[in-house]
Amino acid sequence: MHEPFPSEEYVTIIDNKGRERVQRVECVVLDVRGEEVYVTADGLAYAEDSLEAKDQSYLIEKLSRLSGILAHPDIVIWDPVEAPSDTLIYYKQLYIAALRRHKLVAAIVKVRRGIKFFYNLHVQESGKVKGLPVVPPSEIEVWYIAPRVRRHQFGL
Amino acid sequence: MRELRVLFQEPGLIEAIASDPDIPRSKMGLDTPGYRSLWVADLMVDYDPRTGRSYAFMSSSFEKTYPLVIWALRFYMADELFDVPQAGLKAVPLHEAFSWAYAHFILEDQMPVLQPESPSEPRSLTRQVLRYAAVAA
Repeated sequence: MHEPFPSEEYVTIIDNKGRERVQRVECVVLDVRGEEVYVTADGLAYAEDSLEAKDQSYLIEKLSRLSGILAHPDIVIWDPVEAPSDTLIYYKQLYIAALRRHKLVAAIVKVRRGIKFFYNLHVQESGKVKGLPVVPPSEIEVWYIAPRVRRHQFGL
Repeated sequence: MRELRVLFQEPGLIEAIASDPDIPRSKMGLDTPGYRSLWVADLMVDYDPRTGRSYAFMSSSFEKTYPLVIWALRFYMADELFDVPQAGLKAVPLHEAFSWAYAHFILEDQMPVLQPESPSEPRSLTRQVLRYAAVAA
């Protein structure tokens, strides 16, 4: 993880209405394949608001460890909502000290015009990646799986 | 009655979080099971362990999946009514809250007003949004 270089401090995205929107980049994280993920101020603010609203503030500190989730995930899938997908979901079991237990945490990364943006962080039901059981496991595309991990641990 | 707070991040991440004014916030934070997909892949639901009731609802590609998500909410989760203060809505089912969110956050309150099918047709945001989806498809 590194602070953005001067040329990376602001990125421009095209919104739903086709307008250009400038976003401030807080940091740049290298994921498990060495690809850059931009963490914007808006993305971080959303994730914090969401965790606070859900009474899961214990996860807010994990936002400062995004690099660990993105660089060392257990499994990464393409969001099975549509094909081709523009969203990757990085899953990792994390120890939550406040709860004294491990939880499966998901970091959502949106790919927009070839640039990856951090989108949200949330708790996921253990043993089931997004889509299960609605989508057949054979239709869920795995982008990465750690050597020590087996697909069936995630319902695949 | 529980209140819904709706969060949105462009282009289509939406979460609706229900809180009960009679239940205080947990000091340690809620140890929930975590989100899981229900009925359609892009509708994810988490549960409050104290009550066993669903309390958080998320769609991360709502700008594309809203017809499916709204239909699922209408079919399967219409049995509870919520107040949505930020929308000025009182005692509405989830699908109405999500329909408001679509019209407000994604269409930016620019949804064309479609003519009702009949003069007696009750005003329904869900009906408006789903008819808009049918026209836009």
